[in-house]
Amino acid sequence: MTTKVRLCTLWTLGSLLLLALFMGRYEIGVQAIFQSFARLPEVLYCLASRSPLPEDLTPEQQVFLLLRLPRIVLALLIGAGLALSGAVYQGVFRNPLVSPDILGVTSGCVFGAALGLLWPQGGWLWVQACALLFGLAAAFASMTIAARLGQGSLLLLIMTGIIVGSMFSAGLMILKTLADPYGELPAIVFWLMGSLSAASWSNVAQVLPLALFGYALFHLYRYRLNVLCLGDRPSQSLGLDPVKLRYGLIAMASCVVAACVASVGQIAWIGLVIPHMVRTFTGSDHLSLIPLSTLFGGAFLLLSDSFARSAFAVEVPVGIVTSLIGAPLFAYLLFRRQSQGGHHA
Amino acid sequence: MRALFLCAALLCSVAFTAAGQPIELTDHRGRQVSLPQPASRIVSTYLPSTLFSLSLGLEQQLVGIGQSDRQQRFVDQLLGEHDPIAVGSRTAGLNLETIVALQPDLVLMHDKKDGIRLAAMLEQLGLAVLLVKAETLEEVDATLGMIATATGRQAQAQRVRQANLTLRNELEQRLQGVAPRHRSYYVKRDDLFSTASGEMYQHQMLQLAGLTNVAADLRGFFPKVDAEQLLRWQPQLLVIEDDGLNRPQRQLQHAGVVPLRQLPQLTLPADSLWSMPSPFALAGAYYLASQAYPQRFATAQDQNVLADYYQQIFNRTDLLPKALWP
Repeated sequence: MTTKVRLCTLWTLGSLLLLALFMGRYEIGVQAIFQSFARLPEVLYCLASRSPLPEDLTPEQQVFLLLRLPRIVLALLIGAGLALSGAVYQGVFRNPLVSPDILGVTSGCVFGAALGLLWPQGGWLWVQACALLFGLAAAFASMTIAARLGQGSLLLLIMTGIIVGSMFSAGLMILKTLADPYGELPAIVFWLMGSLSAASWSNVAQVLPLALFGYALFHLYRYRLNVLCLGDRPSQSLGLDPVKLRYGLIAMASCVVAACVASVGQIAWIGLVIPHMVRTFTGSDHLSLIPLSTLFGGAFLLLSDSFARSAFAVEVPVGIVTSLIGAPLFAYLLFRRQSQGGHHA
Repeated sequence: MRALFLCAALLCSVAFTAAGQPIELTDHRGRQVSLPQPASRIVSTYLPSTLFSLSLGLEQQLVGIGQSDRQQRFVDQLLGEHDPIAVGSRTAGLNLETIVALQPDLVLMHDKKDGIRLAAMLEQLGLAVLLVKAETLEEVDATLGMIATATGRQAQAQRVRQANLTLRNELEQRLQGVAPRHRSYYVKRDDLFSTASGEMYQHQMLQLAGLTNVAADLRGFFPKVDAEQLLRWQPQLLVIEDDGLNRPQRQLQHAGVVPLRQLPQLTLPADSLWSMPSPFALAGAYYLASQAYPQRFATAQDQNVLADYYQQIFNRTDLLPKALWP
């Protein structure tokens, strides 16, 4: 990654972050935002220790610290997590058309969330726990079946992913038919469309550890991921165990995806296309692809969500915005690359 | 009826009602909600709570409503020039910043798990949130009382209750001695094969209208049945929720269930909103009864009962479905 690219990326992300801080339906001035930041540690401490919030918080500070800021941080984390996992999946499967839901993780998460919603007992945490557990169960089932059927075959892994994903999709359809169309069904649809409208610091706390750990791991393994992309025999000749490495990376990427989907629902496009877009100007080298996909994924979801929450008084489903912004942008990048005589990696 | 009032009284426990005293309420989830004074800026986040607010004459107090509430002619007519901000929907999400920016002193929210979660977030921001549940006639009455207390509209709530009591008595009187009752099959607005189970509000409505729900033994929400099951039930008439697109009627033409095509069809008008629980939903039962047993509702006076009912609740009759206009 050249210094120019690094600077350009950081500048873009910084500008977007600044823009997002000031965008919203509730009018909050510059001074109030700076004052809010000064109160952030105190508020976070109160939330973490479950003690009452400071009584002298102004309405602007409350809205900024309890609604807008956690939503911005969560958008960055979810976008980064999905794009990062997408880049790893595509590298492991040596296929740029692979998305993080190839092993049925997303289907498992949405099924789990729907089950949690229909279950008479339990609150929202129970719903999220179900989503996470079933997402991980889907990935585990896909990998276990594939490992039993054929040692390390990528094709088998994709096929078992399709099987497991279909099973959970069928389960979801059953749950949808059982749901009250005016009661639980809208909440299930909410999960299917994905939204950050109810983002809170507790969501951030749920996603942050896995996202950070996932990034640290993939960053450390990005050299090995490059070797893995050469194929199994070259990897073995260079001292790697491709099967173990592949399963380990997929398991971790699945954990990150499950954490993201369990927190905000299914958000399409980012995991598939952001790594693809980044690859159009960095190539397939994971040394650049991993950090840049992470940054651009976060920036992209932040931009989309800022529009989704600020453009109108009502929420626009963020999946619609990611597609509307992402599709033309991606087409433009492809067009530019082709017109420059480049080949898509 | 006494049970209804008792239920309302239990659910809506008011500790202080004297002027200047805080209003203490317990909502359907057992949450304690305190209001310093009757709410005058209200955000209703979904259609049923909007209907309750409008039935209590709170048009001008509504500062925010659900995303598609205004698409209903009934809501649009009652709001008139007043233009509350749309705050989102359950499927696309509610815009919490928009809600806070409206500075409401009361937010009405559904009582499902996602509603409970959002209520907790809004409470953290200092907003009073009432969780609303209105899936049976008893719950409708309790909810009416709760919102009326929160907004200081007890007198209007009493008017609505009185109108409902009168209409119900009238209905029971007209249907006295009807035997055997018509066996009816309830059709959901977009699917001929989705019907009302025995645990749904629509089942209650059919019973009040003097009809027997052939799917009373089913459980769940709008369960799907197949054509053979439908024929086996041998319904004598179809009660169809109209959505203006005639989808069930078209299914009926193409489904190959010939005996069903010949059955009489009673249609709940699309713009009536009688197919969902609300303070004026009893009108739906009366309307169905008048269509199912026309000989018992034959006089000119009977034709005006619903107009009187709307007049009593809303002080106007043009809110009646267009199909019932003279």
